[in-house]
Amino acid sequence: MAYLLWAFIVVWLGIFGYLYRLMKRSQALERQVAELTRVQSGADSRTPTATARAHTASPSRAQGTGG
Amino acid sequence: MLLALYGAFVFAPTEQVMGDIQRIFYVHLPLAWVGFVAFGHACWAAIRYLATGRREWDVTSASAAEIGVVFATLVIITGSIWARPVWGTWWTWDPQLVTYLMLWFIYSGYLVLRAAAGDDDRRARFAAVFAIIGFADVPLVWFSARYLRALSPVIFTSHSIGLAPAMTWALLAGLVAWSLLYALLVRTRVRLGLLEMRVQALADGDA
Repeated sequence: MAYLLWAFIVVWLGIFGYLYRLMKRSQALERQVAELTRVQSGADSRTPTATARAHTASPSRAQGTGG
Repeated sequence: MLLALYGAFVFAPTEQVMGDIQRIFYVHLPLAWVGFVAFGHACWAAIRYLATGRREWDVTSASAAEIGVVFATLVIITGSIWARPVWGTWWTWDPQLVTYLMLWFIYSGYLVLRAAAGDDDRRARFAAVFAIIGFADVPLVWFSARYLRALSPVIFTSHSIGLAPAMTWALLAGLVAWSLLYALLVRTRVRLGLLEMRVQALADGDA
């Protein structure tokens, strides 16, 4: 009976271990996506078009930053 | 899955010769079956990749092979745990065991090859060829039990299933449950692979 128990324990440990690994990879990808989004939005805000858009949308803030 | 566990532990009668240890069979055989399905899936997706050149098929092939290796590892471990009390040894160089171990090495090698750095398209093409050739070992495993005096019992023959009806039902429940789990795992893994591919493309675009 001990062998039977060990066999089922090993199988379920294997399956849950694999699921855990998939979950960790998924979390790492989410972090990467967040990082890429942050980098991309930072790059967008530095472009001249984005700056011009910001000036048009909020003149007072534009003056503040410009002064 | 709960039904499969109920079938294995409660519904199926105790085998007269081997006793309770035989119940490993209700998880060992479905795992082996799903492993074959996974490697077949990897081979089919590899053929589709070579035919179309679409990276989605490459991701599918890799996902199926990865899950196949997980299942094949569990098959080898459960088989070994079964063999110890029944045959008196953890491992024997039986033709079926050897061909199955070869299958495990082939697809583990496939995963190592994929993990190696290199040009993505070239790597994908090599991996696809590897997955297709590797699948040739599956019929060898299947037929070695029938024609090469293997120790493993032959359950399915062209005429009948060599099991009592209650055992057959327990086995069928296991086959269905593990096949469904495979479908769920491969779906999740393919989604993850596609996401990885897109993130990589975005990161390369930013670099």
